[in-house]
Amino acid sequence: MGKHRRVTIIPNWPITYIMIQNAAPALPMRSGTALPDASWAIPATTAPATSPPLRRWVNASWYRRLRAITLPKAQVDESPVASGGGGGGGFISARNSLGGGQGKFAFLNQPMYPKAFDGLMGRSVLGRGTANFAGESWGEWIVDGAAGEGSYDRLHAFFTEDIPEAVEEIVVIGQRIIGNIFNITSPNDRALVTSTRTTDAANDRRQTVRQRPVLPHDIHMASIKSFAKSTSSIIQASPKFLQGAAEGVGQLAYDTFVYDDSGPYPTGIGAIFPGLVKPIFSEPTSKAQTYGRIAGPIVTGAVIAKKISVRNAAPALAAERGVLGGLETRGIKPLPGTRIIPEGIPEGWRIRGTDTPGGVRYTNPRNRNEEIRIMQGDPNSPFPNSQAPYARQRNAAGIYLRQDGTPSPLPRGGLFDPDAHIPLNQFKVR
Amino acid sequence: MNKQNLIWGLEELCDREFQERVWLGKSETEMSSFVEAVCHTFDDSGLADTLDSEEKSAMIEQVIRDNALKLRHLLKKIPQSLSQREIIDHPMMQEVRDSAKEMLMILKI
Repeated sequence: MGKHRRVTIIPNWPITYIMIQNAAPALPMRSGTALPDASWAIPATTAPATSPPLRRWVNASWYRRLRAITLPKAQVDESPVASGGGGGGGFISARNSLGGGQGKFAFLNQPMYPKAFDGLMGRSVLGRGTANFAGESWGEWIVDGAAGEGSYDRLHAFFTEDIPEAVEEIVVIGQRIIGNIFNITSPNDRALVTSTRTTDAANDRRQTVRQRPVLPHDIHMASIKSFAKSTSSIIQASPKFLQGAAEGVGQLAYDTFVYDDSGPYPTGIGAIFPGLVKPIFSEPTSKAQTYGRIAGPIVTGAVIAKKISVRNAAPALAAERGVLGGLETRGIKPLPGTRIIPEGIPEGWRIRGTDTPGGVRYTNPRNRNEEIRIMQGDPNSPFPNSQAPYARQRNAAGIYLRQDGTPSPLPRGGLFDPDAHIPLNQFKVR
Repeated sequence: MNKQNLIWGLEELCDREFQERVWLGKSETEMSSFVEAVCHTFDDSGLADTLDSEEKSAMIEQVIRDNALKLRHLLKKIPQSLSQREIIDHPMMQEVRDSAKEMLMILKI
């Protein structure tokens, strides 16, 4: 068989309904364990006559099919994933919840998380608006439209070419949206202001999570950084990493969603954090219980055939173009660490992409001289200190700083100072 | 917009000899690259922000704006994936140098 999946469910969370698409037709339940209610059962219709192997499960045609549901056909043909960039394997989940802004999320939790979200896309039709998601390999999501409370349907598709053959886990957790996705406030910045709050700041462990080693798939840590324990809220302009994104489309990590924190779980890390969630959720606790172990071939489901009313398909397409037609299609795949806000960047600094794709600038809005640039580097560079991601920092006088924090004494403010090109893994904000 | 930074960036972009020396690692005290040069010109100077903002863009002279947009357009035609040597020799780079030189002259007037 070769593939084993474990579904971990946290039953006390406000989950109302779920369908796990890549589950075996008959969920082999562990003896003595029952599903919370019938709605957790895998619908029989999700089992096709022949179950394709995981690696072939979500292929380009599936992607096209997904898009065909949500977007006009003419637009589907332009999908970069459909033309070959997509997965040879993958994971689709669907969720469907009603009332109160409650939801749930299923995700593939596996150690190779940098690739787990290759081609991530999803769509939520919320009670008062539509949120459309598309992401790149590090799991950035872009969202457009206003969201509100109420019922919503959501589709997620995770495409990856490199799903591990051995053991995988699907962790299903509850999710409660108690914040709102706001409209983009500045088309120029394409910034999306999100606001979230947690119901129990005392139990919030996001600060603890931050202490973990920096992980490759950690764009979301950036948003977590902005969590203010004192006010129990996040209000943050999302970074503009999406050069070329359509005007009026914002980028959102995951901070719109706040997880029910009634239990001893870190809120806010959620399913999008497979690398972080695993050590916390993989073992059953009083609140997290393993309900079953799914083994065997992965099956596709019928949920994709369900047509979702999308009232805002055009912006969604633009959003997807913005991401999928962004860095990846320009031959640049952001390297680990280059999409993390460096520790020490003051609150309120502007975050923008560089004019060449791949770099990120952090600028003091009150003094433009003061700026940090994180660059991708070039493995073929004749300079060892820019063969990997590197940083450049200018002080308030516009002088480039060296690694030890001293201003470059060289001409032109140290513009060409080799010591002012600092390997990212040795860089500290001064 | 920081005019001095812009001038430094343009001086780098218009000077093939400088590029041969600094981008290819032949200088012991200086280092740069095509990507850095673009950043110096557009990011460090604030030119990119100016061009991207309708409000700010309207505040600069049209001839500078037009030249900057042209230069930006030319730079985007050069694949970043090429080696520094290939970039320096890229046919489009001569147009970049000419355009940068032209803009430099306008700025220095």
